[in-house]
Amino acid sequence: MAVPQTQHTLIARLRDPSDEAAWSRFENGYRELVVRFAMRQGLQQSDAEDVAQSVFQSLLSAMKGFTLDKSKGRFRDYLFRAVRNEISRQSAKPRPKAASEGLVEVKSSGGRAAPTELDQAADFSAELEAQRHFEHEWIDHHFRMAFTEIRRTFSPDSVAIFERLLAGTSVESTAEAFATTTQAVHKVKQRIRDRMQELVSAQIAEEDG
Amino acid sequence: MTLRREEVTGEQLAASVEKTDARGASCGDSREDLGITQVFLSDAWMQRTAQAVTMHELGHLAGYQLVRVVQRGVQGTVYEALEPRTGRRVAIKRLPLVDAHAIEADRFERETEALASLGHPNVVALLAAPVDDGARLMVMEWIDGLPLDRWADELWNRVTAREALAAIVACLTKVANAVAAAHARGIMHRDLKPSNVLVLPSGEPKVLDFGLAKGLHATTETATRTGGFAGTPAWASPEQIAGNPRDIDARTDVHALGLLLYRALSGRAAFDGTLAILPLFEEIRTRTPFAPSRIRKGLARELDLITMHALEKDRARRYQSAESFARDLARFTTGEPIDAHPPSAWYVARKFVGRHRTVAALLGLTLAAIVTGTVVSAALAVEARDARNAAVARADEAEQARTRAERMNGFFQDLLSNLREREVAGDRAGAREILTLAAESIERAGTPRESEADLRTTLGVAFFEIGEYARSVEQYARAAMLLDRQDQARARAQVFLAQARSLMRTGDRAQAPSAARTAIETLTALQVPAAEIAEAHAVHAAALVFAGLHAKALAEAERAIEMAREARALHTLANAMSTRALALGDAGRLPEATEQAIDAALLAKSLDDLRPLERARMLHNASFMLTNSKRPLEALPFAEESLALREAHFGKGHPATTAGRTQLAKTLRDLGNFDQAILLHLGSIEALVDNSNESISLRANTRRHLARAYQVRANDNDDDLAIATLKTGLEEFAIARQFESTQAMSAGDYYFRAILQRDGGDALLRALRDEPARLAQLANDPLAACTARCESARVLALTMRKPRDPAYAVVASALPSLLVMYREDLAHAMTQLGPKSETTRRIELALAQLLSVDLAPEARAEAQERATSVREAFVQQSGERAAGVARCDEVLRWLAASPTETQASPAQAPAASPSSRP
Repeated sequence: MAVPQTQHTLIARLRDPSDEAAWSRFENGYRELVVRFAMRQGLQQSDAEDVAQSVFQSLLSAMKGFTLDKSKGRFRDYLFRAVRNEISRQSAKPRPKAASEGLVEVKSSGGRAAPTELDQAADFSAELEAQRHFEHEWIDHHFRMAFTEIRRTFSPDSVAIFERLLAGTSVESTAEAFATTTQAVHKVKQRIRDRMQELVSAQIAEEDG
Repeated sequence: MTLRREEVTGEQLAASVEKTDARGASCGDSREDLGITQVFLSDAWMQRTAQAVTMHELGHLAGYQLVRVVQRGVQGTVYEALEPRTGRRVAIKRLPLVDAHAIEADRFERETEALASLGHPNVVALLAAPVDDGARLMVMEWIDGLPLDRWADELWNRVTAREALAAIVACLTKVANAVAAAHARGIMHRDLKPSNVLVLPSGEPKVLDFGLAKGLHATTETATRTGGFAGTPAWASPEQIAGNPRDIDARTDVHALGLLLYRALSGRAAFDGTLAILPLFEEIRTRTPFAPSRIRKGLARELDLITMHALEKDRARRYQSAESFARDLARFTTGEPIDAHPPSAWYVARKFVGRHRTVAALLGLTLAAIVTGTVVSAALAVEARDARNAAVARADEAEQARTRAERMNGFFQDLLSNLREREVAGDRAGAREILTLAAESIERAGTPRESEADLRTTLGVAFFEIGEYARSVEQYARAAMLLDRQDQARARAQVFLAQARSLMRTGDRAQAPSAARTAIETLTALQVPAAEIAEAHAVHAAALVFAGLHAKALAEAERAIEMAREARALHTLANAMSTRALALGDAGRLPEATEQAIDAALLAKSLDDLRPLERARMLHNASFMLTNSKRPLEALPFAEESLALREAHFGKGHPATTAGRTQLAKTLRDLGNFDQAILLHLGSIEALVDNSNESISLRANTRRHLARAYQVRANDNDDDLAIATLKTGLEEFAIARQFESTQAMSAGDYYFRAILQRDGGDALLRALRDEPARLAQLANDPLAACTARCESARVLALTMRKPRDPAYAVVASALPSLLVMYREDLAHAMTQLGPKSETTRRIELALAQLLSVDLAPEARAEAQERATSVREAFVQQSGERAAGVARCDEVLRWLAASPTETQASPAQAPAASPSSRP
């Protein structure tokens, strides 16, 4: 499926900050990713939302005339770094003690003397863990996006059947509940799977401009 | 960036590095994208989707901050969360209560308290169990580990077999100890399964979800379907399925431990969780799974014993506690003898060690080594050495050798007479091992020829007694070779006769007649008493019947009858009459055959000193003939008595007993007593516990009859049961490598027919592709795929001859690809078996059947050619009456009718299989 150079991928379109549609789609989709990742890193929900807000704002300005240089890495690496930086910035802020539910230790390197080897090792494994978390959320993000599209485009019955299956109901009971055959249920599952796979691949391609 | 282990393994990623991005553009690093592709290869994608679509506003639950949803299950949802003050990661399981009874709630409180105070390193620590908004929460320590099955599978791929085995056994030992600790506090698990045992990278297991299955009911869905059964179907024990809550005790958890061990060792679940509920339950209640060592080669026999001991259907026969299971595993690890063993083999072993210590020593073996392959005690080994030294110190070497051999013979005679005791004969596996090792040890001991001939003859009889006919033949062959002197001619002839008796019960039955003939020649030349010669003729006649040469068999049987009458050898007379009956039956003279069989049986009953087994055989034949003559009521008493005799002599697991049970079941089925018939078949399957190829194919064959009985009974779900049992049977035929036999092919035909009937044309076509492929994998031989669907060509052709058949359209449109498939099958058989093999011819016939319904003239011409040549070959091989000939004629008839006459003539009934012959 050849994509003409002039046809803009999502990222390409982001260069134009006045392209409202592109931006809201981007933000809606990726916001969840950022918030969940931040919470995984130990932030409270409200702080995580703050982080998301900041990230998108700074992205907006950074993207003016932004050209993604492929040799420097992929979009998601870029996003990861942006979010990480934002999280560090957040945690370096002085926090009012009483207000928060409880202090959650966020890894930061402020205020220490020359890091010892132990510190470095701890930092390194923390870094690995952060990468792992982000990767996980990133994949979830794509699944989420794909499923939203499926909800939009598949018949309501098919979606309902599929959601039953997602909840852990067996194929047999689902078939019974919808007064159809197990083969039909399997077929729905298969079609949705195939479509999801397609969508996810396409989404990832889109990310890379 | 690395993906989390739970999603994709490093190996999978590495393996996919080769692939390039499908869209052609080379993305910076394509590996991670393909990692996602991997997720789509299994059902993991569903989990991820479920998890992804939850909104992030999870907020809080009972004070804990929720991070994400880990898993949604039917029982409830599992979250990852953070503890408020410490920020420690925890797992929270949220179980909505459907109906909260005060008593249940109470028990739950008590159990969770007990569990929380358990503090066992291998039990997931329960931190709190508050109630929240109509749901129970279980807050547990967070475990970053893999479920047991995935952990074990990865281990087998990652490290050497020995390391994997050691790690698995160590892990399961800890799991069992953890369960035992909980039992000590009165807590049962009741839902042990791989996803409830998480294993850390260090190999440390953590058991989760104790006691949940009871009292916290799942949705009504499971309740109504399974009558209140709670727990996961594929991991349930027989008594859980039976449903009586009072029957569930520690031994239920033992069964589950056995399933875990099975899964970790073999890489497969013991019971197929993808089956529908009722067939699955049927399997769990009645089917003994294959021993793990049959699935993963090289596993120690002790592990089989331990696993299968835990999986006994009858709780009383299992390990009585999780602790004893753990102990046996520990003993295996340190090389000590385990408790789980076939009791009668030990009984034999201990008895013999007592009486024949010297012999055992002289053989240089300990009996324990014979039975389990491990050395029982150093003491015995030392004794062996000492005895050997003492023996060597004696005078003449030849003298020693003779003495040794005499003692060995005495030993084996003793063994033989013990084998005839019911309990021991029932344990064929143990007896077989003893005998096999004994046979091997004869070589090593340097026995003089004469004694060796004696020993081998004894072994031949012994193997025959336990139904190991092929080995019996071997021993007799070697004995005969040793009896090569003139004065030994008579003995040699007798050995040949005995060999013929064994041969006719093996796949080489075509050679049985010549063995008998050799014996006759010798005995006649030696002018031995007439009765002996008559007996030899009778055996010859039987051999001819089994070899399918019924005309010659008839003549020979009549000769034997005459000679027996003259010599007044009544036993032989009865034998010969029974054989004549079988020959008449084969010749199509059923009424005469039936009368003759009855006469033989009545004569047998009147002879008090006739061996019980001979009597059983004749009664069986009479019953067989009577059922064939559609006289089941008269057949019944014969069948019952025959079976009783065989059970009394052989015990339940012997092939002769199985044949007897099958015959009785057939009779009952013809009388309309379907339930009894089904129970008999199930009993046979259950009793054929050992995993020799022979037992497995007997089981598979019994399943055919069982499936037929289900279909005839036709209760609700009976066709599901029939299909499930046939499917298992096909697997068994594949694993036992019997897929080329008539029974296996007939089972394939049956199975696909049933699929067509229940699920329609689409399903049939899918099954014809998928199922044989699976069987080929199981058998490790692509030919298994060809034989499985061979007979179904006829069903497809018949469907094509009926345009109004619902499956017509589907089959018609698939015809071209079906033809390709069967052509490939034929090509394959030609290469692997050669053009003259019967199997190749049958596949060729299948192709002809399909071609004959194609409208193209070239196809029909080809069909004509093939059907004709196959017919010729069958006639040459087995005569005009061979079943294959009739099929060829059918195809030729189809071809002769004009193509527009596609209305099928009434389908010919498939020929009866001679499977109930004694």
